[in-house]
Amino acid sequence: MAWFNRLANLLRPTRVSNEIQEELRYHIDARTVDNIAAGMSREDARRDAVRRFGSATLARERSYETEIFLWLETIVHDLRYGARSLCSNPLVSTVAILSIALAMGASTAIFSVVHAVLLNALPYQDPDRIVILWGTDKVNNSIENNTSVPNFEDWRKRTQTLENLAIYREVEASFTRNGTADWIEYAAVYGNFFGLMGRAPVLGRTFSTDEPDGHQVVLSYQLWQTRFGGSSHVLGKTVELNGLTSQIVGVMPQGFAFPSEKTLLWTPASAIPAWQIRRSGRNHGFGPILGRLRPDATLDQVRAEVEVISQGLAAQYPGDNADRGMRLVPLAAQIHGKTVPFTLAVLSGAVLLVLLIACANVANLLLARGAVRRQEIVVRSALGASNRRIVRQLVTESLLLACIGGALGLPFAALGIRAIVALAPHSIARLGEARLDVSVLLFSLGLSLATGLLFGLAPAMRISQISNQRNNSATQSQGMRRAFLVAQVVFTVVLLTGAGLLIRSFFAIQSVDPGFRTSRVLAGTLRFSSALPPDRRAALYSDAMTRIGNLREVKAVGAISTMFSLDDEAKFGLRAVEGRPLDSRQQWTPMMWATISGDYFQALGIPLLKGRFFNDADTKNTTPVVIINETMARRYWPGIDPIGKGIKGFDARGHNDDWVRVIGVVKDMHTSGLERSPIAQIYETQAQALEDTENLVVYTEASVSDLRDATDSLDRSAVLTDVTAMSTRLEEQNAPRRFQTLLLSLFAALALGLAGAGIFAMMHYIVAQRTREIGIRMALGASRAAVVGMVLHEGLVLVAAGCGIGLAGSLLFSRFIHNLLFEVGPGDPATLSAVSLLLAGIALLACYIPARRATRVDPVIALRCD
Amino acid sequence: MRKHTNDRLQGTLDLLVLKTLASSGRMHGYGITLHIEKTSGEILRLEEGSLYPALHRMTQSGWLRSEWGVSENNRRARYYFITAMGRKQLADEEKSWAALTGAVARVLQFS
Repeated sequence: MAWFNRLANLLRPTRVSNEIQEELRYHIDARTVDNIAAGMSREDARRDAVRRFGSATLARERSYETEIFLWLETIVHDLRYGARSLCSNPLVSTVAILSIALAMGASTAIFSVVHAVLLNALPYQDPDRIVILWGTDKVNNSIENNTSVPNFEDWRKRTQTLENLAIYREVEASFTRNGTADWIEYAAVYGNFFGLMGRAPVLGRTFSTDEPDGHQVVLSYQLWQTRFGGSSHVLGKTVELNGLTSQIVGVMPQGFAFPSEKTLLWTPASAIPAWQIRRSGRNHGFGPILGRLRPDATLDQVRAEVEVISQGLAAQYPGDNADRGMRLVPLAAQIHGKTVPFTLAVLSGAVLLVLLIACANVANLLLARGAVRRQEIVVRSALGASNRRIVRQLVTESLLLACIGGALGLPFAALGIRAIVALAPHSIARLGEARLDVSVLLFSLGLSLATGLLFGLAPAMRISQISNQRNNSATQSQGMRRAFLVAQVVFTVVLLTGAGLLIRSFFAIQSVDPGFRTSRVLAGTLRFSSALPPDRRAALYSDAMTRIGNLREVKAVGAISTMFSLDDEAKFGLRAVEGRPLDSRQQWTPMMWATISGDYFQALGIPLLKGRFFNDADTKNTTPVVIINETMARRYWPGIDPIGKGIKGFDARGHNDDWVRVIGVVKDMHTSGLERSPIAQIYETQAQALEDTENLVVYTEASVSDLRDATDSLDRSAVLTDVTAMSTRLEEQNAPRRFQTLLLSLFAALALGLAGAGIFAMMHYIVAQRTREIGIRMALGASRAAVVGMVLHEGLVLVAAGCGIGLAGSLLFSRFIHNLLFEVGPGDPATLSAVSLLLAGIALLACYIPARRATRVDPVIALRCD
Repeated sequence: MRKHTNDRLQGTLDLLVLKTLASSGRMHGYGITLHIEKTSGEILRLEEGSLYPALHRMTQSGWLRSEWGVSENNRRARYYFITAMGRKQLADEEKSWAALTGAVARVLQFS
């Protein structure tokens, strides 16, 4: 019945407390009466009764603690007391609460991002049992290769550890509805895709992807909302996708976004062009394989089996599979990518340091105030409060402070989340879902409590000892304050160095010459329906060049099949080079082969170094020709004029596999990102190679709408998208780095501000404490300069110690982020000295003001005080 | 609730209180103190303040019940008496006490 008693006690609390007091009083009174009866005097009898009882107050407090309600009542009492004591020193409390609010706001914002992006389960059934199999190629080191459908069929038959296998292909195509053409990304799937993902549609049905002619589409929630207004009448309606009329059969729920958030619908694989060829060609890569671990299988077993099956397939079909391997990637790892978890880890680490700095700040303020509150604490413990009781009181105050700080931090966090979502590169999946939801609020509460304990416990223990061992403890708590200050400086230096290195890298990248004109160049993507025959599309691109070129403000216009290849690490070699032995595979390098139309080089201002540009005389009936870049020329013809030399590319090109002749050499441009050196490049003309040249570049003053007018009238299926200034496009490439740099710099600035305030408060306090000593020194004839020097020395020694440790620590930290650095080493002397100088400046300022105050001490007043 | 079968000191106090109430019926805290002092031949002197937390704890565990009554000198006092659960607990504690003292005695004899 114990619980019943407790419950009953809760309901009649004051009676319980009174009853306990009455009971204890009865005991002491009864003992006193007996003592008197035994012949003691009244006073002696009473004293003996109390002594035998032990401390009556102590006993009462221990009894109290057995009653839940009284325990709660103590907390309420402590809280009320804490609030009063926070109000009694508004300046200190405001500084402390603001420190905590800022740091908690930043931490909560970062956590809500981490939560939305990494921690929230992916919206599929048992997502951690789903894996992706990417093909690898040992020859050119590529690690994200597509698997062909025949190979997939073999995998499906052979695997014992995976079930519900599917294969998918990301496709871009024209999407026409009611006559308006658009260009969308979608996925063509084959195998048991929807069964594997385990989500039911919100409307209609999914499709069984192995059905032979499945011109059906399942819409994503996003497309359903934006294009069809969320109407339930979409089922059975038709759309034109990739030139084929397809029927809408279902709508997937919100959040279902595989393989990426850009995927707007799903079709059976049989609905993509050239399916029959892909279905039977073992050498025609289709896409990555997707599978679910069987209930009894482990990831290691799957890995082992993958190895066995891929070796088996290589042995069985050496012609197509000899160099192919397979790499297993868990679904979550695929969706998060490599950089996002790393970026978030760096930011979480940074924000944790900021929080620690804020904690050190508040702990110092509490210690400083604790010394002032000595009187109060001595009185309380003399009145019988136990040591534990005082610690509890002080910790309750800290928790209150932390929770107020945490609550005030929530608006900062909300702002922070909005800023992060706005600033972040688009590549972070599910970032848009970051918000202050219940779990984030719980985290924030938990973090507040943890913070409160962290910065509250040590000072509370220290302060509660003041009553016991006066002098010793005062010096100890000064030591503790100094340690906190040094720690603050250390963390700040680490953050500043990290931010400094990233800023240096950022500007180093900004100052890289991309090798092409970026101002007054518009970039856009122009596409025509893939249902049109390739020569028709080539003719349309040619028309587009003419029409745009005829616009009044346009100086030059061109287009290219692939302009940038940012993440590709694959290496290639040519099949043959005239007058040169064949490359060994070790000599292979990254290489790009692209088709251009119009005046691509002129529009981008890329100078011709040798030979000539393409001209109208280069047609499909003349010798196939190419233009190469400097890197390519250096690689195959070092010191030799490459003009007129013949090459053979990856595939058979030209008539009867003729030599392709080099006619010109152009300057390098950074097509694989500003951070990587230019790669070898070969340019063909669309007149000879029927490849789509969808990336438009226009050197012009004209507006986007002028361009649109010119392209819209070309063909019913023409879609012009993503028109931006070329400079903007380059900035977008740099967006992840800008995001990291900006956020880390922001945290570093916050850290610097907090640490500066911490140093100031600490020095201010030290000066206040030493007022009398300074007064004596000045009375004995110390000069103002000597006093200022003494105080500065006191502070700067600590800052210098922190700086030293911090610089050593930052070497470790910057090694951790070394692959974010560009053209600066982890121990970059310029950054390290700039950080030291900046911190020294702030510290000097923070110390100087209290030092100046010290010189204003009037010796007489100083001696009289205390 | 703390486990205290292993905590000898506390267990001893519990044992004494339970035994006292089992043999003497209804008593108030002061009465228990006096009874233990008297029956132990004044050897065991309680830290009297520590008795009350123990009484409250045992009441909450259901070993004791308490009620307010009127004392010998006509004052309101809280009286404690042992419950069936308390008697069971007492039997357990007595058994383990006997085991312990027996063991200690053997050690003292043979070493």
